[in-house]
Amino acid sequence: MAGLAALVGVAASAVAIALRSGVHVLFESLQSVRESPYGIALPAVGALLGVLVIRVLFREPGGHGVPAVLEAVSRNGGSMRPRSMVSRLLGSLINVSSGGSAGLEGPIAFSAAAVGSTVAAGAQVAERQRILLLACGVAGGIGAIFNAPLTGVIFATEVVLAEWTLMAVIPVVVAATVATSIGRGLLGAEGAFSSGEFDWGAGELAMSVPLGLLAGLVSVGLVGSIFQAERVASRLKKNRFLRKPGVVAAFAGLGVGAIGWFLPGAIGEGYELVNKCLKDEYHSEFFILTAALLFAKFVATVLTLGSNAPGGIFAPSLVLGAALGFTYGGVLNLIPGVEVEAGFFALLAMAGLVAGTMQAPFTGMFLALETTGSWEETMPLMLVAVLSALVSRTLLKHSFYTWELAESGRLLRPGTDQRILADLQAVEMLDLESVTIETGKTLDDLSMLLQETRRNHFAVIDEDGVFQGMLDLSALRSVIFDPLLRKMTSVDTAMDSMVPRIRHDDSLLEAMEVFEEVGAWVLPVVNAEGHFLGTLSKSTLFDRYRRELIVQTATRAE
Amino acid sequence: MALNLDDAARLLGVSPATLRRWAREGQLGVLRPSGDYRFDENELRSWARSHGLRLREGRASGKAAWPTAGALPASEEQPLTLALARGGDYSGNSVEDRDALLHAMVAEVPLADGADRAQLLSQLLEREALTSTGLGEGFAVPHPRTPSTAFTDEPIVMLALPRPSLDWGSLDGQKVHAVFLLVNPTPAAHLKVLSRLAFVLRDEGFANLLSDGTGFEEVLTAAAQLEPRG
Repeated sequence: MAGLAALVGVAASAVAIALRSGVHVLFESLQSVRESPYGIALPAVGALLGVLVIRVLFREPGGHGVPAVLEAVSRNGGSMRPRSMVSRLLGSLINVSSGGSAGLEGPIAFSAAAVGSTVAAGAQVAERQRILLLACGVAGGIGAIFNAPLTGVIFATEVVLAEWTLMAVIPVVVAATVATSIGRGLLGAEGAFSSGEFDWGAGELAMSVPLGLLAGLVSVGLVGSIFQAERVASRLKKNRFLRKPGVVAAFAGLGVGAIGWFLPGAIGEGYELVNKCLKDEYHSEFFILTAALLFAKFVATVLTLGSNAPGGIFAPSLVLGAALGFTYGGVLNLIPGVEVEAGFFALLAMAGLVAGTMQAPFTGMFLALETTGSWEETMPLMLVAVLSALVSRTLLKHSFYTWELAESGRLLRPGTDQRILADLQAVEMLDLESVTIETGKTLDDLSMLLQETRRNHFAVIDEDGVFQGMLDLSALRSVIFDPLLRKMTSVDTAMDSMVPRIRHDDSLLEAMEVFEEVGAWVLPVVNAEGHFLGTLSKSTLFDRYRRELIVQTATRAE
Repeated sequence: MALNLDDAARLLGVSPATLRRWAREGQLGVLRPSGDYRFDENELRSWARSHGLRLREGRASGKAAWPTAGALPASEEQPLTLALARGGDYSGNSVEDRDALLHAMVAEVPLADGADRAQLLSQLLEREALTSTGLGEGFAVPHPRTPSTAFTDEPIVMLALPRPSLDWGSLDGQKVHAVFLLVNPTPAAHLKVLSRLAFVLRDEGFANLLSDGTGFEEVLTAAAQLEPRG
């Protein structure tokens, strides 16, 4: 398993490097276009092409990358299509290089996850290992792109796997380390961002508390706005023309282009802005500028991500965080007697925004730590990240990543009730020794059968085996002991023909709902033609559920 | 509205012991039951909703509610008597044979609006084809093969006292002089009414009323006195 993890790490780093270099090249070559009057249209074109690449060329569904990874984990046992390794890579390459206000990390995580899944398919491993390898891919990709192995591991475990067992962490660590080492070799050993030393004390620590809350609010605002924008977009897509892939994204891209015309730092990936904030190159007196950039970037991100143009929320969170923190620092400096380094707060808010949008405080914290090397600032970073995540959790039920899935009921975490019931199949728990009786027979005939079985429920079937109704012994008590009435009552009259039937391929989840709805303890299972297959009893279900729960949550060695 | 522990537990579909434990463990976040545990109904409902618990409303434990039909000498717990009161007695002309009687009774029996009487008749005949509904001792209990709400919402028993008695193919070979047509909405109702009827028919006095051709009101009163309550 460690070997496979290493392999995935290598491949993930390749993915990250490819994208990073690709963006550099493309971004530079488009520079001339950007400066021309056509520059306003560039993000629109990039968004359109980006969406087309994914939807038409690769025929993959649109939407954000990481949620697709989460869905693969929760519903498809970690299975992803091999073409996913490349589709979003290309799409976001085009979109972001042209100025789309989104990040590359989400697409890299998505592509690297697909790599992990493909490797797993090739090695023909079981579902649990496949999910792990998928997480390895994510860890490797994030680790390589940010030169931040710890962050890669933490993101993979916190967001994708949502479990922290030792057995899960080890392969992920291997993959992240391998990927980052390769990345370092080829992309250089610098942290993604550089920052100077910060001078801070108890005062600054105290002032970071409101910042943490503020970062949480901004995160909530961002995620909320993006989803509002998505709702608007889907309403727009009812129009025949606007429904075509990429069109809405293109129009949104025009908005981004317009923003970029005035504030070029607000569009595209935006990392230069981050560096400037951290190194205090803006001079905190000019926090008006960063405030403007904050606002502009916010809008641009909502436009890009709300229209489902390819890209992730990682980078925008970092950039918005830097701008927010810097502005906050600048404002604080206005207070007489206060003198702070705005760059310090920029750093903190970076962690805060990531923590808030993803509801993942550790990821946010470690990302800021590793990319800037600010190990001295661990305490305030922790504070801001946790506060922001707390605010976000309180106001939003779900993070940016889990929102979509949770809304459509597709979010199933391993080991949860829904997941276990979705895993169990009706056919696994049939009582095949159910006793049947044909229509036309009387309860007297039934009473003969009673002598040979301990069952209390009997299925009435016709001559072809098609299910007609259920007989419940407890309901027959009033007549079954009277020999005369027994002969007088046919099973047709006594049976419950309205009892809901469970199809043999229904998920246990669906069956459970029916049990709850009807208040029954035994239900019949039929095949597609209506033939009786057996009964399903609630008590067997509980027993099997308990066993499945034990098995799924066991932490024994793989 | 304030609920006590038992009502609150019933609403949530759990035992009072469970509810007490949840309160102790602090599971019931915002609710603050005090002393002898009082719960605000609205808060309880929204707590249940946010915790994904389905509420058990109107899920009365145990007995199904039997529909009443106006002022009758019997209480709700006497389904046979009620059904007889609804069905009444057959007051048509005398007929020649079993099938003709069934035909005539179907025409008269009070069914739900829009009920398909032709369907009822064919179900009655189907049932007779399986085995005779002649109980013996001169009684018969024709009924449709499958009880259905399409015929009626409430149990109905119509009494006919054919004179001369009719050949019913009974198990003991005797001709039938008392016919109870049973029309029920559900199998459960049918089994209940049938067992009550069997019980009442075992009483010698009641059996004599029937063979003497007594008026319907007397039969109904006798049934009300004989039928156990509940």
